[in-house]
Amino acid sequence: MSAIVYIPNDSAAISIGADQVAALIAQEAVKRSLDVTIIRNGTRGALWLETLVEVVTPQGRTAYGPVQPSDVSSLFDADFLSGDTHPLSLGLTERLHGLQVKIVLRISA
Amino acid sequence: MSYPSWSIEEATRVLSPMKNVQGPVLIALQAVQERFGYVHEDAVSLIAETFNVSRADVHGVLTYYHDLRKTPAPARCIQICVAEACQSVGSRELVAAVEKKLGKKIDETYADVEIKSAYCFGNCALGPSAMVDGELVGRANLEKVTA
Repeated sequence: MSAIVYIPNDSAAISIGADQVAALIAQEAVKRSLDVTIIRNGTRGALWLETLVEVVTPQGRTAYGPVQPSDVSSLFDADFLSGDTHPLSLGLTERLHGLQVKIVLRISA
Repeated sequence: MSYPSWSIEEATRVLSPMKNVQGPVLIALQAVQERFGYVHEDAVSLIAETFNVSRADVHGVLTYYHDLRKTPAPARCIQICVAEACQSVGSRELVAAVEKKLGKKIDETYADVEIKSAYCFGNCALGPSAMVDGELVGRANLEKVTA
């Protein structure tokens, strides 16, 4: 079964190397004879974690970031396609939303 | 990036699909610049005639937007954001380092390289931001900008 990897395709992520990360993941997958489907998505807004790479696992999407092009090989070594741990592991993506602080400004009459 | 030489026939071809566009001047100028790398002076009359607007209207738009060029770009174009957010994470120091390495001053004209100050690319969370030959660069440093 093909592993599904999400990589942002917005200009902020591209400005720090998302295209190179995507290209290197595709290359590394071919080199290691792994079946990987890369889907370019929008950013989740956590720009300090870009390039935020997500992998679909049975538990949900698992995130890694900030991924630099030089990290790609070590992600494969750590079997990130199965959601395994790596120094850049961020856990399940849906839990990341709980870390974001929302500031609401209220205008009183 | 290399561009073809200015040609009025080619410019006419570029503009022809836009004849029914509302408010076409800026779009036409951008299309000409995308094709030739700059807006040749003859393009002003051509756009005015094509879209039935005055040459003054076209000139006004051309000179208002700094990203529209009236002369071909040098081989390397570097823009560095020096707005507040990028300054707070070191863009002034980056400008100084780039000036020192390339031996050029920011916002001055040279034949081979152009270093311009910019005021926000909207990429503040990944500052300092820069634009190198049209490519947005986040967390810019001397190596990325002058590579």
